[in-house]
Amino acid sequence: MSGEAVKKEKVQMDPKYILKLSITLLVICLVVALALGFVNGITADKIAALQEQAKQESLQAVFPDATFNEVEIGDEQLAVATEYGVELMYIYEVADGSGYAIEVGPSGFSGTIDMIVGINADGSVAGISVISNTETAGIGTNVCSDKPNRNGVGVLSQFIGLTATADNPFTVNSGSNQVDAISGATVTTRAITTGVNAASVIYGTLG
Amino acid sequence: MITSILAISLGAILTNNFILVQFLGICPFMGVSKKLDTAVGMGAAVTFVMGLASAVTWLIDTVLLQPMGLEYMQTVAFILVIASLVQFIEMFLQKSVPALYTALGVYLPLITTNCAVLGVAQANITSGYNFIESVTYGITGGLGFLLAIVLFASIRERLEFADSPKCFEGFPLALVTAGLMALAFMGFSGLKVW
Amino acid sequence: MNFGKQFKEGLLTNNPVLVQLLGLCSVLAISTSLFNGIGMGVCVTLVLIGANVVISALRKVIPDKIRIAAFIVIIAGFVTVIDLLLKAYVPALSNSLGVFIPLIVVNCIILARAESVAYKQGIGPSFIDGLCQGIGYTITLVILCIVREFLGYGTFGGGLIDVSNGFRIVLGGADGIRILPEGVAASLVTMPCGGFITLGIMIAVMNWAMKKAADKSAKKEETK
Repeated sequence: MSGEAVKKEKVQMDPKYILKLSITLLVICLVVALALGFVNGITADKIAALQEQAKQESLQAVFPDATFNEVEIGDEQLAVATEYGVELMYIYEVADGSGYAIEVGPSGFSGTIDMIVGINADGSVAGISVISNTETAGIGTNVCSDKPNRNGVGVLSQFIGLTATADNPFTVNSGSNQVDAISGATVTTRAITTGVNAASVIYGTLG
Repeated sequence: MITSILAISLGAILTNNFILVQFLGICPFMGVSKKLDTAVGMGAAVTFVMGLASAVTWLIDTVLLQPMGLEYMQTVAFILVIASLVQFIEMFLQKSVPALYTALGVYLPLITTNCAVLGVAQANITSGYNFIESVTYGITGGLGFLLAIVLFASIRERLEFADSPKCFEGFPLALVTAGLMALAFMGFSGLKVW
Repeated sequence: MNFGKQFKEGLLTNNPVLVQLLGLCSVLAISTSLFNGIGMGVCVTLVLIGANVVISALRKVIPDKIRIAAFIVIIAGFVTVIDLLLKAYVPALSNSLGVFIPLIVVNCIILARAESVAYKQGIGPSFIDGLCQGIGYTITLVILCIVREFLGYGTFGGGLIDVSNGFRIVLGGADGIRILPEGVAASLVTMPCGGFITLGIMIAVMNWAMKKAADKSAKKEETK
């Protein structure tokens, strides 16, 4: 980097000065990098712990007071995830057999939305909870925090009790299995919908 | 692949326009939109830099930062890359394409601090786009910027002659106009062709 | 050092948002709840102070030719530190502000102050300048947040004040105090278009008030 910034002056400058410029910039970069490494060292564990805690809370939000067993992800499930263009992180089975919690990551407006979809034993949606997102503040984030859409229903809550299949997926603002977006946040809503559809179909493969 | 690229393009230009929906790149949008021809110049320069920056930052992230576990250095690395890139383009144009340099010259340094450029670099990584998608998002995002700034400049040229309350002259009126444009762009939300 | 004058400049006559029109992206994008506004304001103020002090301390060491690159690295360093700290200790704010935290790097206010003040003056005045400009930015942002939150959601103190179970100050997730009944508020105000229009009106009001003040002092001068 330092080399690039300096090249401009090459024509009129002697090598010593160029060296001085490069070294100054290099030292600044090094100091900044060291400082960041230090701060990262302090915060990394804390951030990871917070994410784990958020995940546990999200699992509890979908199936309250349940205990979960992690299920191994097979090729069949991964194939579905790829087909829907979502990441598949974890699958948890509710210990009493009342359903599955599937953690998927559809691509939202800016970045992957890390969400857990709870599917009841009959295939209907038990609940949705977003673990982390990087959507636009005040617009996309409204979806993830379940703010009401134009019908006054929370965007995430509207899925509860409904069932999606591969042939009859949820679609945003149209179609036979319609869900409604928050205006201005259609992309985020659509991403969530993709995540729910993928999770529903993945549930179908779990048997 | 094709559909994902088309969907990204449509999103970047219309439904999630960088300026009017995502609020990225407002400074140059307000600053260099008084005249139509300068707006076109700025828009073209931004498109160019955004495309190039997307490519370079994606490579740096994938080749250097991710394998070394240095994701937390992204902001620092990206902004440095963008700053040197802009500087490089400036030098290159000055030597090789002087005509283009005189046309774009004054706007180039401004692009470093354009949030749309850093924003697109960040978005490419967080969205998990591959190389081609990243470059597409960069270029089409820039085109969206170009579209918005050209439309805005055309309106502002006419606003000059509008009879407005004294305290609204200049920026306040421009902001209100931008607001009305954003309202119009909201009409694109939900548009999905692919 | 003239603290009073610098403070007045930061807040009014040279307000970074309303007069210099810098850093509009974040101002428009996140000014939808009091929590966002105060959070963003504090972050920007901290980065401003930090960057100003460090750049001012290093101003004799940084060669003129590469000063912009050096400024950017220093600013980016501070922003990343804030970003990491928020993620670890105030995750709600980090979630709510999203990409606009890293984007503080390209907030023109910080680079402009580095260039015009910190690179030319000593550490003391640079620190005070950072503080005053930061406060000016924060207050403007908070006012915009209060207005937009009230008109858009009909609440006050969103994310920050929890009244569902007695009065409590929390960090994120609260609904705030409901002033207008639900469904009355114009959610348009919280959308992009509302942001532009509200800020436009705010600057117009500021222009009007400043002109009035200027007229008044001009009259005073005349009578003297």
